[in-house]
Amino acid sequence: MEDLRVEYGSTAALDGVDLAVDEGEFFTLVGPSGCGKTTTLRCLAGFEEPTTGSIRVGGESMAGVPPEARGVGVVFQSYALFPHMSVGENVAYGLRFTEPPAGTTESERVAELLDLVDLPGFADRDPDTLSGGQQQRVALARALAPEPRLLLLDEPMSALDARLRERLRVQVRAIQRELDITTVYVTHDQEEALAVSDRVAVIDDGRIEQVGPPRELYDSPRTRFVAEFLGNNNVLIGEIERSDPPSLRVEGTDDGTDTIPLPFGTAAATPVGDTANAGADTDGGASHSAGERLVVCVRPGRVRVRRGAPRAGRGGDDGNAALSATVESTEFLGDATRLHCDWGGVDLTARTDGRRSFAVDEAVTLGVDPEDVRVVERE
Amino acid sequence: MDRPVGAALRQRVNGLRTRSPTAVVERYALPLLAAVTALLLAVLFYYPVATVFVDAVVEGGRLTFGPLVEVLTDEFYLGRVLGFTAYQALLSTLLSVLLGLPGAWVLARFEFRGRDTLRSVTMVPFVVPSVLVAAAFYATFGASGTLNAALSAVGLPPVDLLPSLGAILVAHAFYNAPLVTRVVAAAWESVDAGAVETARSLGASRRRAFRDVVLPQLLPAILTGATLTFVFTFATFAIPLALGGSRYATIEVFIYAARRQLEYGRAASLAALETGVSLSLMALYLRYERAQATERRGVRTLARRALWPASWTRERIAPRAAIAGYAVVVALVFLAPLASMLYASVSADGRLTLDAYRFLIERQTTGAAFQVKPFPAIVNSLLFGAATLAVALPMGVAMGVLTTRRFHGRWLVDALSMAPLAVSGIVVGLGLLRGLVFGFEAFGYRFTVTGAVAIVAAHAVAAYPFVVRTVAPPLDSLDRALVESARALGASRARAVLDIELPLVWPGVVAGAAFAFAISIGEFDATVILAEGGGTYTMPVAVERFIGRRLGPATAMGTVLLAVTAASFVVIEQVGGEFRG
Repeated sequence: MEDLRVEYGSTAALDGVDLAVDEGEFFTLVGPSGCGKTTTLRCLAGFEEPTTGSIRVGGESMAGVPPEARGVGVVFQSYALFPHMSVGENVAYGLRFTEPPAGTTESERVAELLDLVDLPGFADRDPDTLSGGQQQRVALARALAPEPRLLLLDEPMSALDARLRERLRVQVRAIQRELDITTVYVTHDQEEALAVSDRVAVIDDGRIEQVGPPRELYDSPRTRFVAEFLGNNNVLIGEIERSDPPSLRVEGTDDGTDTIPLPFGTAAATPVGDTANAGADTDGGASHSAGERLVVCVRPGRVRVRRGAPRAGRGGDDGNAALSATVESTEFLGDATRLHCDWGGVDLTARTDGRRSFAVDEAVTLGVDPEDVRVVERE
Repeated sequence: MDRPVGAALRQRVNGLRTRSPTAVVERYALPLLAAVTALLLAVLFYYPVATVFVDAVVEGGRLTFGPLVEVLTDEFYLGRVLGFTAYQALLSTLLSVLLGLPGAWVLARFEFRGRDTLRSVTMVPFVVPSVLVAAAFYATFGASGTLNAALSAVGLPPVDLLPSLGAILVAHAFYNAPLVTRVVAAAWESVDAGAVETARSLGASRRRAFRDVVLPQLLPAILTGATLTFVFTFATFAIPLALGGSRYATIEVFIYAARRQLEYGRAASLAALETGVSLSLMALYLRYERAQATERRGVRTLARRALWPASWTRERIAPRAAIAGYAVVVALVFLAPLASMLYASVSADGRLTLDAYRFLIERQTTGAAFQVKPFPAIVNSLLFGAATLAVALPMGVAMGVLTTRRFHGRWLVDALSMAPLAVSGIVVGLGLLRGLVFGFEAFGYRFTVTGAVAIVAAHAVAAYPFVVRTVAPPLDSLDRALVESARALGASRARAVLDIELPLVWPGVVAGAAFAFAISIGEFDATVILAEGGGTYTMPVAVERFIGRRLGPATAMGTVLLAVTAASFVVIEQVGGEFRG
């Protein structure tokens, strides 16, 4: 499967979406509700026709091909099991229109799939008597029964509770690997997207923000939206200050507040990654100079917290920042404690060990290493 | 690239690409059905109705507006006929709303055994043949009706209540009050209890919360019920014909009279005038309804109180006493006439007898050729009913499937396909008579249809909106993902309708079938226009022929009509249930 393109007209929900999904890949579309991820999926399935642009599956144009001829399996958030059919009849429905795989009968195929989704012997059950998780697994088995070329999952876990969701997504991923089936997964849950995918596309307002493996998106967000959408993040905007080493004067901080260290050598003409992406490759083509405005981010987990005000002098010994801040509120998360701090008029969030507790208004020192500061984009 | 998993699928895709004949048929089945429905509507409804309008403005092949101008400038027609028609419609609407609202309150706010049944029963008057209601009122309020029998039994002088405006109004309320009840009760039940509770918690008294939260949500429904009632009673025919005499004749009665005198120009002009008023009202109403439409989901309905409380306190007695009084009125309006009719059919001069039925059998065996006989009426009614079912059910289902999807210009399709609701049977019958029975020329041939075909056409056009109305809402509430899942699994759109949608909305289809059949059996207006002087009369026509001449045979024929209608309902339910499996 290659070169999967969806483009949409001017006013539409999708504005020039251009994607390629590889064969056997688990590809996730993630974004806030109404961003166009479901529309993209519906175009792939053939439920909606893109106003412009084209979709190709395995090199074949899908233009004008009705859903029933596309060879896609779809699983919906609402399960959409046919309530007037038994579990077995549901799974067998797609086999009315295509032969079961060579060497198997219809009932063997149904049994095989119910085994695959870990529901053996459920064929005669009524869908209404099943739990949400079980229904969703039946829906998955039904979608897989006719051996689709492409599996489309539209928020399949959203109606389930958190614990079940985690278990089911592991199971779905295992089945996907076992069958080696190209899968496009739509979710609004960024954690889910990062957890299961080979690659993720973050979509906002009908446009693709960034595409890449989960780790790359998390570590090196290329737009402010991606930085804020995936996980918790401190997104800071500021101006590069001429100093050695170079640092960022963050917008909104009071006079006399410290600056944030930047992950490159000198302030003047230092090369960084292309289009300000200073993640994996800091030796790309572009360069930054003093006075330039940047958007950077620091993960809360990378912000070190020490009790008390910083000691005299500024910064740590090796270019690390030691920022003076006060605790505004704390959230106990079990294995971690999240601190919302006021740092010279700007909010900074830190995530620290769950065993430590802090009082509101307590003075703290926040430590930030230059290599943990990611340049997101130029402003 | 190697595609082990996709290989079988590729085959499937290529197989479909080559398009086997069945695949092609399946793929175009729905659009084809829609096209046929549109064509039928055009030929059976829009063309005939257009003929009526043409008749109103064309004289001797020239556009003169003569007949229309004649009617519009005639003080008698414009003032007396149109005025009276609107006047009685307005009074009927008021009475129907007054009688219907308490019912909505009881249904929506009280819990009691048989509430669901009572709610279903409110559908019944709608399919009771209008002629039957006329016969029932005749049996109650006529010179030799049960009322006078009761009066003379206690030594009071008889009263002469027929013809009267009052009888017409009550008969109209018989039809339309349950409609008001249904519509308003539905709105009442969709009021979010959370909204009322919020108002109360913000300091509103119960009365105040009702006024500020509940009432504004009921008013659109009341207006809906009132508008529909006005449109229906404006185009009333059988009831004023039977109960009003010449003094209380509505515009439809004058159209019928003009048709009997073969004054087609005048009939057409009056019909055009009436249809213009009805359609304008309907269009206004549809616009209003569209502006009101909001999606509601997950609303918690107001909790119902027990009708029979655990303990009786003063505040509990008052509303329940009012309900008891209302129940008496309901019994008088709805049950007494039907009971009177049944009683009148088996009695004469205060003693029980089967003379009326004996008369019907004698008429069958010895009646003259020009006289209306009971047996052909029954056979005709059943045949027309079956034929109507065969036409209206596929039309209604196709339209229901096609209009549940949102698309641009859907409101226009909705309006065009629902227009038969707003055009009276008299007008459709007149149009079919002038347009199809008298024939038209096309492609060098003259096309004519027989009266029987025209009657079925009129019945189908009248019945099919009800099929749409019973099938479309359950279709609309189906999860869209069900059909999409079936499509993704390889089912064509038509297959998805057969495999998924129809089985899931089957009760709606059966109800639609029952409706269509009942409407055909009870249809009087178009039938009487088309059956004039021929052998294609039906049971309602036979009832009307007997009314006013002999009470016994009229009520006996009415009882037969009632029995056949009820039996058809049972049969359709049974067959529908079996077919579903």
